[in-house]
Amino acid sequence: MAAKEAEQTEIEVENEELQEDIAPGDCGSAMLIASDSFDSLVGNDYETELAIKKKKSHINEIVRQGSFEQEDSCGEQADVNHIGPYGDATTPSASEESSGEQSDPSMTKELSAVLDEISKSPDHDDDDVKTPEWKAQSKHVFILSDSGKPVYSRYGNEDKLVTVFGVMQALVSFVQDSAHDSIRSLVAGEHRIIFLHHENIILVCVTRGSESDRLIRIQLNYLYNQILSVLTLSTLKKIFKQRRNYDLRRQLSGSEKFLDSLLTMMEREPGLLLSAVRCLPLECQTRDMIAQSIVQHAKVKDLVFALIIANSQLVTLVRMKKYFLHPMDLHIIINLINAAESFKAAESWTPICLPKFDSSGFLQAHISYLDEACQTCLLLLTVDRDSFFTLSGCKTKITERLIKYNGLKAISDSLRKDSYNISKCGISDLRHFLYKNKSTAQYTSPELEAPYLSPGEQERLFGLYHYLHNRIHSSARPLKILYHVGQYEALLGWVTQGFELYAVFSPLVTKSLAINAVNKLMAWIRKEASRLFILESVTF
Amino acid sequence: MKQTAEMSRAQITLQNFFIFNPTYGPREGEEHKKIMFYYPKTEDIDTKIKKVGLCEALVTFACTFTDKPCEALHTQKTRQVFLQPEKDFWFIMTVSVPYTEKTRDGQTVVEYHDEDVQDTVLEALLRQAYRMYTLFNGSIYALLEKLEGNVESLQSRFDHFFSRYLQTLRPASSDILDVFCGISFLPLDKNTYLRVQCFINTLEATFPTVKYTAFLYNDQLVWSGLEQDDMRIMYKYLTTSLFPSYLEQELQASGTSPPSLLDEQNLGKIPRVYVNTEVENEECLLLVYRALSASVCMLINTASSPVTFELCKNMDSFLGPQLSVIASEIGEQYSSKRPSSEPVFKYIYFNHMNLAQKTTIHADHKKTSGVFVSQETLKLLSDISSDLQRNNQDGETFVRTLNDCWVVGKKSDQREMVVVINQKNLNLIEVNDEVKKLCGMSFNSIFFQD
Amino acid sequence: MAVKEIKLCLLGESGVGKSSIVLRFVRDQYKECLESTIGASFMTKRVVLDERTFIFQIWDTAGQEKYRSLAPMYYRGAAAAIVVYDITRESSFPAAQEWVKELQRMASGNIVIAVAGNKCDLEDLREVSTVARKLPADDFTPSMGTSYYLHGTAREPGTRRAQEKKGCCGGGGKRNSDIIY
Repeated sequence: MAAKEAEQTEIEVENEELQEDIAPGDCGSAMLIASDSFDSLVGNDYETELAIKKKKSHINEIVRQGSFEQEDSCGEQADVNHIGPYGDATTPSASEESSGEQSDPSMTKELSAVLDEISKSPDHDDDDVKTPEWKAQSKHVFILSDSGKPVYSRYGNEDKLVTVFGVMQALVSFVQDSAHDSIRSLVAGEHRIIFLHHENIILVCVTRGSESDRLIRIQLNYLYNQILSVLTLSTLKKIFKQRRNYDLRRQLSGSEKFLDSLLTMMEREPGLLLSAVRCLPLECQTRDMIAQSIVQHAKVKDLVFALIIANSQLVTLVRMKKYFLHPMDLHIIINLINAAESFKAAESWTPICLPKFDSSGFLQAHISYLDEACQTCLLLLTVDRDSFFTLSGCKTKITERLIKYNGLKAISDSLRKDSYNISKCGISDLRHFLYKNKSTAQYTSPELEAPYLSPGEQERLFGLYHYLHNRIHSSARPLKILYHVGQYEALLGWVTQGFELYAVFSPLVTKSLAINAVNKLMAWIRKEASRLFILESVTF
Repeated sequence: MKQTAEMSRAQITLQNFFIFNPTYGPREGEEHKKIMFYYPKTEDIDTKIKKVGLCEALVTFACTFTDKPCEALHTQKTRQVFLQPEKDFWFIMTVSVPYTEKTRDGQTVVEYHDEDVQDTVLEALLRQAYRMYTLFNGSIYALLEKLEGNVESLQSRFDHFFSRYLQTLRPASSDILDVFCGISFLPLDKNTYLRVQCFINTLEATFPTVKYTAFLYNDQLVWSGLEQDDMRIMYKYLTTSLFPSYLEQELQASGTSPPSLLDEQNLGKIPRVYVNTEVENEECLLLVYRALSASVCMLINTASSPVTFELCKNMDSFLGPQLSVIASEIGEQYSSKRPSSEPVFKYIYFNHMNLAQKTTIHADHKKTSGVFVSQETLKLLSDISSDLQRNNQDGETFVRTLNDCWVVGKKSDQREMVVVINQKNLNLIEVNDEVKKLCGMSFNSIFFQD
Repeated sequence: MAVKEIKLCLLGESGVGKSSIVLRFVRDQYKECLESTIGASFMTKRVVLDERTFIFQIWDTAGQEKYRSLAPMYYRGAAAAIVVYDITRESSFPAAQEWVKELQRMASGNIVIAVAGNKCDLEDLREVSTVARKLPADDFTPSMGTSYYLHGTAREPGTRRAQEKKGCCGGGGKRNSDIIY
């Protein structure tokens, strides 16, 4: 078994001499923005602020390139779209004026007032909400405005939780005002309360879960971006500039379900942890054909991105040459599709802001399902608000071609196969894994199987991945390899310049068997790369 | 490319340390009455009240979601840890988060290194501070009872103790050893060990007022009659405070040093300690007798006969000759075993059951003469250890850092060990073999399978 | 046979049942708990009337406030608009009035505006009384001629919903309410 011996040490050799091209799934030009630095997803407020100032609006850039007269589509004028004369957020109605007294932004609450509020609460209005069941929820999320107005609560009616919201606002502003500092988190027993303060919006998560503070902060940032995707940052700023006490729920009504579903998605979808996207496994020729159908039939001016998504997996993405899609934006898109049944009823035409792409304005999205079963969703994202009928025409042609060349069938076949089982890889002792190719921001992982079928076990498995990911990506003490043997499983986290691998083994596996298994797995992924990943970045 | 220039990193420093009781001064305008102790004293009263108020608010806020008490508050610039060791008495300690100032594109950006501060270490420091306080003062409620509820006297006790104690607090150089807060034992051959035990039996028989005894050689414990938790804090006091100041006196023949009991005037200066070995808050006088490198630590119950000059002289004549003999005998064994240079294996071992601790990472366990690994690695050790501790299962963790240093943590049956292997070209399996070798050598394979 | 395309747009507060009306018209279906529309959805319906074929291009807009400013995009160039309110929700009526005003001001001059009071099967929960209904169409646009009620009955067994339509037909008289069914 000399060959086997040699293979066993290979992990080290590779690790030492690692080169970019060793990472299976690499491709020359990526279509997603590879966010290597985990922290870039959070950033401190200062840096984000700086970045926003420097960043020019992609949307304006694209619009300006258009040949027709554009003076009024740029800058200020573009915002008319968002807060029009009728959707004017700045004219408060009389009823709102009165309800606005709850928390006056002009004076920061004295701490004694906070204490008062807290001490009042036990026998107060929110008694019926703060039940033992409510308290026992493993992950609460609260979103509020700077002035303490409730925007969202994952559990319980916001109106019945005004005290909780009030206290959160007071804590944030007290730390800010008294010490020019910002509150980040509070630990109490198993609970961690994490605060994220953006301009105008405060997000708070109360969790007993396994996610690190950093990951929670990323998740809160996702929620914030979800709000931006409905409103744009410019609008949000404008609203609160004109009226600090504004009840944002007026603008967000109907969008709560997106926040709910995003939170659920975070619990199930490793892509958010990895900042990567899962692709629907397809033969590479099929995928090419699908992409070419789009390129051929959707060559429309001002179309920025065209993508097909099936069951939260990316089938193809065609983009305007200069522009890339950030995985975070793509997750927002996937969440939109997952959460909104209404797209299944008819072709839709809706504005959407992709905060990483351009937080200052909307893209217009043509959303439609290509098949009867409503599994395959086509999204055409443009900056031209009047191109619905053009895009609708494109959609018809794309569908025709996909039917003609069995593209839709290939997609539904792949969906029916339920991705793949770990047994497909033919590696004993390996129970589950996540593999991310860093340069393309894509990942792959097998279906969950026994013993990870019950929700409790799945949560535990995710906890293990959270642990691996957190330790490896520690900002102060990053690691290359983490191998852990616990009571129920052995874990390996391995990060190189080109990829990240997180693998779970049975607890009795020896280290040499585990390393052998990883080497086999890497070989398998390399072999399957063209099916598991999108290796070709297609542009219009 | 971005122009980034990094300047030196600021250290973790103690920002404040305070004790409050929210039940004192519940009315508005009486908030200052809640403050039992506050460091730094120079802080204005408004700030003090605000800081205490924030803690109170946080404690109450956390109750919305959990019945467990607050443990830590993270802000961008500070880290604050909470401890409520006795009902309504909250101990709070705040340190600064280290930061670097960077110049990026001509602008100065301050970057805070949140992960440089470890909650587990700070919490351990705070717990230690409270335990040290109770060693010399007994529990807060017992004292209050003795003071007949006089809060002002309590405040002055806090002040007396903590204003000195805090000067010795070094959050920047605290590490995993503070979390373990273990005891380094001196392994002896059977005969010598029996001699020590025999000596102590004779001592306790000759002087019945001596209720508890402990025997140390240098900074290592040989024998103790105290309950584990009492010994743990006593050990901490002896090795980090009393012995160093004694040695200083020997060397310099000056300065503040423990009073010698061969001077009759010093009788009143014998420190009182409170132990919980047999009963709660048992008040004792602490006498330490040292000959060569051996120390005998004797606790005399204050309720029994008083410590007289006569007693001290008698003890001296009993202890002097015997202890010197034992000390030199141990010394012979000790010097033959003593490692001469930097150890081959760098590890820390800790046994949660008997608090036994051994480190070859620190030059000595007082941490006075430095550590053999980088600060980063040292922090990594606490990361790994706290992960293993949190899972509360047996397990092992192997990590490889960016500069190819291996760090291994193992926990089995209440025993824990962390090892640093700084050989760049080893792979996981080789590291595993190395660790096995170490376990076999140092601990006669008392631990861990595989 | 002549084919004429007619652009139709539905407006009204969130949850009044615009999508249900469209679904009934286009597919003759009814779904309980229809999800709220995102942005706007588009459907077409071919209707043959007096040997003429009409293709309705229907914009079903989302009623939420955040989408309000997008409305001009849909009613611009529309031949007809149906403004819907919910008879069981008082607040939806003034909102409908606002829509009619806006259409009169902003939409093309010859737009046909129909106002529909929906959910008339929930008569027992009615908040908007038949008397109280004062439509700006009546007040400000004398050119808007006839108006009449069409009372639908619950069409789907087991559901308590139906559509009550009040159409205000324009002077041009191109369409009357039968366009809806």
